[in-house]
Amino acid sequence: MAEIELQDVVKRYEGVEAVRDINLRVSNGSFVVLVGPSGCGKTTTLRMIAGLEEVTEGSIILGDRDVTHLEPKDRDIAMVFQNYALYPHMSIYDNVAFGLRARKLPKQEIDERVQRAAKMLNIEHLLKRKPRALSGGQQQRVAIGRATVREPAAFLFDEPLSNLDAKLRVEMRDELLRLHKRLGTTVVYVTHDQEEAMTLSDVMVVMRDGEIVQRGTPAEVYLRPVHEFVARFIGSPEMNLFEGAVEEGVFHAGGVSIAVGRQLNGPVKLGVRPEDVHLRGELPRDQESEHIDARVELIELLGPRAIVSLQTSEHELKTLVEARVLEGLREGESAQVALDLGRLHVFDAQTGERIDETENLHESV
Amino acid sequence: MNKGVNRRTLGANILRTGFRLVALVVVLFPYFWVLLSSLKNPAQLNRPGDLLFEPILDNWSAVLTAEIPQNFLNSLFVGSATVGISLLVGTPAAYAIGKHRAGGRLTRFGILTSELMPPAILVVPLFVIAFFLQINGSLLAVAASHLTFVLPVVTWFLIGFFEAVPYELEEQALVDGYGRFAAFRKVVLPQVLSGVAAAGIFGFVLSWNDLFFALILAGGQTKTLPVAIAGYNTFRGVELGEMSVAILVAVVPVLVLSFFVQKRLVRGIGGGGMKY
Repeated sequence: MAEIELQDVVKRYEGVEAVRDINLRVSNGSFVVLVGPSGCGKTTTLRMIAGLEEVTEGSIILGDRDVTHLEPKDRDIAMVFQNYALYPHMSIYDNVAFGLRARKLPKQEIDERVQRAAKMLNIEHLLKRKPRALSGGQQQRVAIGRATVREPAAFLFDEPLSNLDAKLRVEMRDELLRLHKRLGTTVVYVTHDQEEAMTLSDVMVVMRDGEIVQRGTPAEVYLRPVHEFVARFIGSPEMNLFEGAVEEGVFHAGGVSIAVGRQLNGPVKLGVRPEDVHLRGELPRDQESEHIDARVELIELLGPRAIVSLQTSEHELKTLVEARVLEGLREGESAQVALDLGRLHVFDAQTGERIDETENLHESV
Repeated sequence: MNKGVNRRTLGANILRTGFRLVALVVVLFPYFWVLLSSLKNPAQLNRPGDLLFEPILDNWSAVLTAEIPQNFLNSLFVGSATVGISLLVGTPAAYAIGKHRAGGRLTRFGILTSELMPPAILVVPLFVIAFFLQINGSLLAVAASHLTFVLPVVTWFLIGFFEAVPYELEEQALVDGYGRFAAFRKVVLPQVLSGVAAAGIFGFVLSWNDLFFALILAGGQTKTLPVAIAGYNTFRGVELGEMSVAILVAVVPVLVLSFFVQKRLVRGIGGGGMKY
C-alpha cells in the first residue's frame, strides 16, 4: 500500500501535449477515479503511473520512491486493462500465478495465494480452464484476481467495466467497492462513465484536454461544479444551461427573470440540474423561481422517476420528476415549471468558470 | 423446411462435390503419372498411353542405392539450416516491424522487394564470397544463398501474426513483473507459435525446391535433390524412369508438409493472423 504523487507531470507525443502539468496526490488507501471524455489524457496519466508511457516532464512518486524512470516491473503496481488481457495460452490458474512466478515466490505460497484470490472472487471452479472458455464477467474476475494476488502497492484500472453489459457492470461495480473496502489498497481508476466515477470514487478527478478541471468528493463535484464543462459532463440527464445576462442580481433570458443573488452584471450561463426543475406547486413558495411557461415535448419514464423534456419560448429544458407527479402531464400540452433558487449554478459566459455568491472563485477542493 | 430448399441444397452439394472431384483429378493426375513412370521399363516409357503393364522396381532400386538418399539428406540439411536461421532472425525482426513499426511504414513491404530481384544478380557475388570464405561447394554456401529469399518471406509472413497480438498482453506481462524479453518470450511468442511453425514449413519448401542457387553453388558431393533430378537429363537422353523416382522422393515430403500448413499459409499471406 502506498501513496501516489504526480508532480508537474507532462506528456508530449511528437509535440502534442496529451497531459499538461498534472499535480495529483492519491492518498494511501483511497479510491481515485480519473474521469473525462475520450482524449482528455486520463488513460495516458494512468499509463504513466504504470510505467507503460514515459514521462516527458515531472515526476511520479510511489510511497517513498521516485519511480518516474523505473520499468513497470520494478514499480510494484498491478493493472487491469479494458479487454482484461488474459494470456490466452495459459490456464486461469497460470494467469493468476504469472505475476507471482515473476517474483520467484515459493510454489506453496503461490498456490495458497491463488486459491485465496479464487475463493474471494468465486472463480475456483474455473482455474483449470483457458480464458476463451470464460464469459466476459468471469474474465473480468480473473483479471481482478490476477491483480490482487500480487498484493501490490496500488491497483490501476483502465476502464475495466466498459466491455460488460449494463447489469453486470453494476454488479462488478459493487464488487470492486467491496474488494477495495476489504483490501484497502490504493486505487487509481479511469473511466469515461460519469456514473461509474460517482459511485466508485472517494475522490473524483475530472479531466479535460490533458488538465485537471476539478477534483473533490463526488458530492462536491456534483453539487458545486467549478466549471461549465464539469457541470455538463457530470450528471445524467445533463444540466440545463441558459445563456443570458445578469443585471443587479437578476438573470434575464427569453422573457424570464430569475433572482440569482450574485451581485454582478454581464453575460453568464445559468445552470440548473434537471432534478432542481420542478413542476409548479412542488416547492415551497420562497424557494421557487418565477414560473416558466413551457410545452411538454417528451416524457421518458425511467421507473420511479421520469425525464420530462420541455420547450419554453426560447429554451429547451429537461426535468427529472417523481413518476407520481406525471399525472395530468401530457406530451404536447403546456405546463408551468419553477427552478429551485437554492440550487442554481452561475458560470462566466466567456471562461465557463463558476461564479459564486461569495466572490472566492477558484478555490479547488 | 420446405422441399424446394432441400432440393436446391442437394443440387448445390452435388455440383460442389463434382467440382471437387474434377479439381482433385487435375491436381493428382500428374503425380499418378509420375508414379506409373517410375514403375515402367525403358520400353514401356516410350508408350506413355499404356496404363496396363507389368510394374518393375528396377528404377527404384537403382535410384535408392545411388546418390539420391545423400541428395535427400543434403536438401534436408540445407532446408533445416535455412529455416533455422530464418526463424532465429526473422521472428524478432517481424516482432519489431509488426509491433513497434521498426524502420517505418515501408519496411513491411520493403523487405519483400528482395524477392523481386532476379537470383542471377545475387549468384555471382555469392559465389565469390563463398570462394573467399572457402565454403564454395559446401552446403553452407547453398543455405546462405537460400537465406536471401527465405528470410524476407518468413519475416513478412510473421509480421501479420505479431500485429494481431493485442499490445495489452505484453503490457500486462510488463506490469506483472517481467522484463521486455521475458514478456516477449513468455506471452507474445506463444501467441504466434502456429504462425512460426507455418512460416518455417513454408520457408523449408522454398529452400527444398530451389534449383538455381544450388546448381551453381553446390559441389559434386553436395548436390541437393533438384540438382540431382536435373542430372537425369544426360547427354544420352532423359532417364525418365529413374528421374520419376527422384521426383517422387522430392515431392512427397513437400506434399505432406503442405497439407498440414495450408490453412495458416492462407492466413499468413492474407496478413490476418489469429483472432482474439
